Parts: sequence; C-alpha cells; structure tokens
Amino acid sequence: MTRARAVLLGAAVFAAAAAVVSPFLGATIDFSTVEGRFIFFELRLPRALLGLGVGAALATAGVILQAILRNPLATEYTLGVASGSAFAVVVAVVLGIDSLLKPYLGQPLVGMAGAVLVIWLTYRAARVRDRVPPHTLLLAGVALTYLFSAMILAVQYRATPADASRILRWLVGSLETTHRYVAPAIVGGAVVLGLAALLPLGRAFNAMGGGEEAAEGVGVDVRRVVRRGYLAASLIVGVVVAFAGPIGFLGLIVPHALRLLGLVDNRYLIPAAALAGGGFLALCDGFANLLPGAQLPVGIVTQLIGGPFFLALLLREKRRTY
Amino acid sequence: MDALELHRVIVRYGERTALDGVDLLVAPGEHVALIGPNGSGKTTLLRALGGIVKPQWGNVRPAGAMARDEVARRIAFLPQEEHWEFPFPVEEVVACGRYAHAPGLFRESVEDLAAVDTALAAAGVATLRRRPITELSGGERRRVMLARALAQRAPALLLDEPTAALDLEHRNAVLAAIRTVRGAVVLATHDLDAAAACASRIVVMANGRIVAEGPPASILTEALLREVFRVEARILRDGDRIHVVA
Repeated sequence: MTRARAVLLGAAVFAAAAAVVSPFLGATIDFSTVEGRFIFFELRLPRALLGLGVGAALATAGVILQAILRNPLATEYTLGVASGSAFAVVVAVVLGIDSLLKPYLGQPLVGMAGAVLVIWLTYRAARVRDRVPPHTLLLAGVALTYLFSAMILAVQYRATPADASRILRWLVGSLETTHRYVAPAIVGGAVVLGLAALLPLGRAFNAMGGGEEAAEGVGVDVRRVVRRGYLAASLIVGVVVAFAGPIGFLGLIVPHALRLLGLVDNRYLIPAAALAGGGFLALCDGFANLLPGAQLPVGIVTQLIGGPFFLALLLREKRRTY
Repeated sequence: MDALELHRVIVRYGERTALDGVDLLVAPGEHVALIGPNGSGKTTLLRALGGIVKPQWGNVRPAGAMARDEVARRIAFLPQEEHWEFPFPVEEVVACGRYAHAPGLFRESVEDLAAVDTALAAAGVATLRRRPITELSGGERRRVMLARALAQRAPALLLDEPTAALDLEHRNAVLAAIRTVRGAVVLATHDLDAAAACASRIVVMANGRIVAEGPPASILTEALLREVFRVEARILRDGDRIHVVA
C-alpha cells in the first residue's frame, strides 16, 4: 500500500472513530431511559454529525484554495468568503431577516448569499482579461476579508447589547443547533456535492503545483479548473459558516497535518482532508464537554487543541528533515 | 502527425509587441532551434505554438482551435520556469504528463505507468522518482520536467531552455535524448552549441521577428552573431560539430 493510500485509510478510520466517540465524551448516556435516548439522538448525535460535515467542508476548502493559490497559508478566510458570509449573517441577525424565513433555511440562505456576493466581487476584482491570476485573486480576497471584518465590527458596535451578544457567540463558531438533523443534512449534502465537483480535479491541482504554464502544457484548462474549484470551495464554506459560524484554523491545520504525514497528492489529499477535518471537529466538540464549567464553543477548542498539535507535528518534521 | 504552423502571428503583452507578424512552419519530425538575445520573442513563439498564449492576430495550427487536453496530446511543452510550493514526489510530477490522456481519472492506466517509467529513464531521473520535487537541485528539476514532457508521448515537443542549469554530463545526456526524439522538436536556447547539435534548422529571432533561418552551418556565422548578439565570437568547426567561442 502506498503512503497516500495508507494516510487516506487512516483518515477514514479516524473520522469513523471520532463519529462514534464524540457523542459520548463528557456524558454517561443511559439508553434504557427516555432522557438518555433524547440526549443521544436529539442532541449529541446531530451535533457530532454536524461537526463531521462542517469540519469536512472547511478542511476541503483549505486544500482547494491552497492548491489554486499555490500558497500553503491560504484558507477560506484568506479569500474573504468566510468573512462575507459571516457579515451577511450578522446583518441578518441585527435586522431580524433570518427569522422571517424558516429558521433552518434563513441562516444558510443568507450565508450563501454573502458567500456568492464575495465570490462575485473577488472574481471581478481579480480578473485580468479572461484569466484570474492567483496573486490577484489572493490580493482581492485579502482586501475583501479586511473590509468585511471591519463591517462586522461596525455592525456589532452599533448593535443592541442583546444582538451584540448573539453575534459574538455566533462569531466564535459553534455546533449548537436547534434544528436537529436538518443542519447536518444540509451541510452533508453541500459537502457531498462539493466533493463530487472537486475530486475529479485532484490531478489537475497536482499539475498546477508547478505553475499555470506548466499545467497548461500537460493539458489542464487552468481557467476552468480555477473557476470550478474556487466556486465549489467557496459555496460549501458559505453553507457551513451560516450554520456554525466562522470556525477558524481547520482549513490550515488539517491539510498541513496530512502533508506532514507525507500526503501531498491532491487526488488523495482532498478526500483525506474531508475525513480528517470532519473527525477533528467532531472530536474537538466532544472534548469541549470534558472541560469544567460552561461548555466552550468549538471554535475556541479547535484552536486550543489544534495549535499545540500542529506545533508538535512541525517539530517532529523539523527533527526528521534537519 | 500535423505540421506546426504560425501564420502572420502578432502577440502583444500590454503595450509591448512580443511577436510581430511571425511566419513559421515546422514539418513533422523536424528539429528546429530558436536562438536570439533575451526578449527577442523565443519563449512567446513557443507559447503561441503550444496554444498557451492566444495571438491578437494571425493563425496558429494545430493548437489555435483545440481544447487544452487535445493540444497536449499532440504537443508537449516544457516551460522555461516552474516553481513548486508543495513537495510532490517526482513520479507524480512526471505522471501529470499523462493528464491529457485521462483527465479526471483517479488512477493511471498500464500505458500511463509505462510512459512514466520510460520518460523517467530517458531523462535520467529514474533514481529520483520517490524524492520530493522541492528537495531537488535546479538541474534535477529541469530533467524531471523534461521527463514530464516526454511522458506526454506527443508527436511534437516544445522545449524552452531544456539545458539551463544542467551540468555538462547531464546537458550532453539531455541533448542526446532530444536527438533521439522522432517527432517534431522546437527548442529555444541560449546554448548555441546545443542548437547546432540538436537541430537541422536554426531560426534566429530579434525584436519579435525572425531575422534569419537555415541549416546550422550557414546560420551560425561570426557576422550574424555580431549583428544579432552584438558580440565578437569565433566559430570552430570540428567535422559535423559547430562550436561557438565568445
């Protein structure tokens, strides 16, 4: 078995184990009681499934945007999509627009609308004739990230204390959902559709690793691949940000951790990142239950666990290489 | 097997004209070397032949009216520069040369694997196949990219500075490999000895135009080098070989 397949298999085992373990962390569930079954099936399981979907989406988007921009530090936040989506949701919360629609549809629709707006703005700003050069895409995305982050702060600053508190809680990133299986189903559907669009592009992204001209020389239609990859990655980010808030770090840490384990080939890295990202977020949410006091939002836990984990991997690799 | 053809091609980058009404016909199996000073239009000519840049004016055959993967099955292209950020294994870099034969597929066919093995051996990089591309020297990377172009098994090969950054041993090995290619080859190079050794016709470029073309023996003269490159050079002839001493 090649290393790539071994890491992909490991990611699949990790995701399955995380899905099984996460709902039980920090709670003793007695399935013989109504309360126990309620806690498991109505609260813990939907939350673990949402974690799997959100983590899969964010890690996949990280791989795709890093491949498109040929920049290992690129994430869904670099290109402004998450900030635009978050801004749309924040405005909707303040204006009460999201509650006009069915609660489980309002937020994702608004989040998607924000993502689509940013995709359009970034694309328009970055386009040079009929091409979208990675460096102009990156610059346009960074500019829009700052712009939307500032607008989020402005809206939050002017909001009522109650709305400001709701916005803050949502911006931290959380898997709390009152929609039970609706949110996991919508996020899962978006991830499946996104992966269906992205998986066939794996080798094209490999070919683009040496630059656009080298990729075109072997037959990659770079414009088409960039457009499809950028759109698919951005749209799944729009959906998950609408449900879970802008959970950070995942799009950076998961692809890098897998690369440090020796998996670089995007044909395997894309599905492995989806599996490992999903498993990682579900586990982080479960670990949040183990901490004393009020449960911390998963957006904080991912960074508390992810930071040291990433540093440890980096140190191990440094010792091996140098 | 098609001839490669440019007909009155004009390519502009903004205000600058890189190719200014160029006509060129490369017959199937013919080996042509492009020479000329920096900025004379050699790289742009190769890009136009390979369909990488679209001319503002003129016709390009066959790449002008084809989809990218269709072009890549007929014309392999070795770019002058490539930059790798992620440590792809060499064999995956070379396997990307097979992209046009099955875009979107997850696994290589037996034919793809054979093409990769042959290309790795021909470019002398078989021993590097598991190494990350980011850990190779400039010369090693150049040979890997040549292997990638060879793996395309296209009937025409466009090579932009194939011997740049190579040591003498590997330069000679690469030139020997190029000479054995049975399809059409167009190579842009500053290595005038290599141009003379590999090509049956040399095309001289200056300011986006073709200023001279013909067999190496008639083109590589001290007068032409003085006029085009503005250097005083001597031409040494050793049997079939031509050496330029500047």
